[in-house]
Amino acid sequence: MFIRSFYYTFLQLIRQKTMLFWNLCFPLLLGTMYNVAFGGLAADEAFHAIPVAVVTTEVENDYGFSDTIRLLSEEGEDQFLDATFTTEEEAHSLLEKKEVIGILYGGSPITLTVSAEMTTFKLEQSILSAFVEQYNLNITAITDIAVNHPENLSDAIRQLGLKTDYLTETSYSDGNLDEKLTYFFNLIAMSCLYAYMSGIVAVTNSQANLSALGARRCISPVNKMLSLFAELCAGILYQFLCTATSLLYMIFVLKIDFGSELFYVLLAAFVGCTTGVSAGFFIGSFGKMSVGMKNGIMMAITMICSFLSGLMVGGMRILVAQICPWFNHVNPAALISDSFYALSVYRSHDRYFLNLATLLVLSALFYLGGFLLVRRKKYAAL
Amino acid sequence: MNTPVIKIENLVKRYHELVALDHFNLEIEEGEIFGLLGPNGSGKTTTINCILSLLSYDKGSIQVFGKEMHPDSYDIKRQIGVVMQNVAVFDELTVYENIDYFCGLYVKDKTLRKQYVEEAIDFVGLNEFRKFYPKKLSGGLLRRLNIACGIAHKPKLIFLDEPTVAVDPQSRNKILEGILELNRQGATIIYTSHYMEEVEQICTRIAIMDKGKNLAIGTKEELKQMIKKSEIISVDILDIAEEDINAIRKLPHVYDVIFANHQLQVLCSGGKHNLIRVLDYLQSRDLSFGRVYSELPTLNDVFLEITGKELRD
Repeated sequence: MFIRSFYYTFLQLIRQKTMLFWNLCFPLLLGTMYNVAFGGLAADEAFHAIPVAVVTTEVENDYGFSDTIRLLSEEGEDQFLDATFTTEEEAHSLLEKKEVIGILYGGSPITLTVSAEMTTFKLEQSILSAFVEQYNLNITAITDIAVNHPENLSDAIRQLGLKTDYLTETSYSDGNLDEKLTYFFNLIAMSCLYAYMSGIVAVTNSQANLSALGARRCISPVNKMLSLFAELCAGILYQFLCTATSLLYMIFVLKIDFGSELFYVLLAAFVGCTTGVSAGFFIGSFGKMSVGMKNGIMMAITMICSFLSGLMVGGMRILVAQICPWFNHVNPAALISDSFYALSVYRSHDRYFLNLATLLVLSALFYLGGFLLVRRKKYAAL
Repeated sequence: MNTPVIKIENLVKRYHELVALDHFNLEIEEGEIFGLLGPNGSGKTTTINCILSLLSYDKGSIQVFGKEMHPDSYDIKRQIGVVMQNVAVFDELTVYENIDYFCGLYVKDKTLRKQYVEEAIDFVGLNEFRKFYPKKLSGGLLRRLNIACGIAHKPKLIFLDEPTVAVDPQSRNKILEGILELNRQGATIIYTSHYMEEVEQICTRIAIMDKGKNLAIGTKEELKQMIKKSEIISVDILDIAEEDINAIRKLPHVYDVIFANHQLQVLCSGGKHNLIRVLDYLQSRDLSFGRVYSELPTLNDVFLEITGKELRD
């Protein structure tokens, strides 16, 4: 009986187009959109070479100004300037057309002209100004040393070539600290919690006071709890397959880093789906509310949990931890996404298993509550 | 004497202040097509749900196949088939899969189940639609699928709760023929409806229910004999004098005479040859008349006389 109930429930679930959209297509679409959005954000944040016009004379060439500019304009990952060597008249024309951000004049010292109208390029203007200042300081220092202490000139040039960092960057793990990952972790958490739909369907179809189908099954010579258990198992498997598909798509197509332990990632998703089904089962067991209303309540709970876990605003979980610390320890979405976080960033199994254990306790409580509500064999009214 | 298939004694079911079943008694014998006739809200479905152990009740006892019925009485449940008032099938399963699923709740043997499913599909005439999903079926075909899901496992006792509601005449006839065939195959059938014509057509015994009470029980002939009116003779006539009306009123078995809109209605209670006696009188008085027809009482007349209201009120 278990196998037949399991098989037919699974068959029904995979044929429900609405559920298939929410449980499979929606996470895939949202994941793709996140990827596009964050990809664009990264591109915006990348440094681009600053276009400048350069006006030089014969004398300046002797001091190596032109060579320095050419060196800094060489194409590559660390290209600093996009220089156009030109006449003063043409340089002003380029600045007016906003084709360059500033004009560098050779000489001693070198000077910079920028346009006050180009307000959106303040950062680039500041960078050029800092460059000019630093260049002039270095030239002055070299000239002074050459005149006053020529014996130290080679040491001075070597020192100027060195850059001293007084701060060192250290990492607590070899994991990925990319903040955008949390959005994908929360997306998978939300997908897991969408399993509530299967839980609601299972309980509605098995209770005589909730549907005609439930009544028909209650009058059959089959143990109600056994068939209900089979349906809940089918719901978990169905949702896990949907979530696993989304996960694999993100890992292998979108190249999102969920850590190197795929088995543990899938295990967290499986436990998350179990929690989702249990929550749906629990809410679905309540009285004679319509299925639509129960789905609405569960959708609202899922979205609130996901929001507070950081699905829409990256730092939300930290904010929740400051205001209401206990909530992150009972919020299923936060627990699921934190499991992925523990694997990907901390590479910590302790934290990962603590999250999974909490999810399993939550599931057990939901299942217990649900079974207490549906244990009746006769009803006062249908 | 055989043990009744169903025996209900003194059943009381209350929904808060409302008494849905009021000391209800019923016995149904094997092989019957038993009709539970009553208006909406009379307690027909509540009776069935109590028998099936879906509803709890306040007082009384219910025995099915001679045993007390409980939710865990799987041996009894295995012999029962139910066709619910509301269509109860899975939208995501095909016609074949739905019948196979519900049959599988009763029949474990795969080969036997396959045979039963095929026979059920044949029985309700859904052969051409076996791969259709319920949403693609018309109302009548959906009702037939609902029936097939309830009877595929060949139960000995079948409950049909208003199976022809919102069904086209063709499907209705098919369903009624099917019920008679199930009975011929040996099933005892309990049929609830507020369509008196259907009950009259197929039921061997009928109980008339109202307000949770069993008002009358018997064959349709027995029920009709319980009421005063047994025949209405209608005669189209241009005019008739008051003295003639009084004279007709004095004929044997006539208990009332009404003349309105050029039609004379003579209400008789029992007796034979009432029509001939009325026509003889009219001819003897040289009264010319047109169409003449005689109507026997219907179950609606029975219901009207017993409860004081129409069946579909």
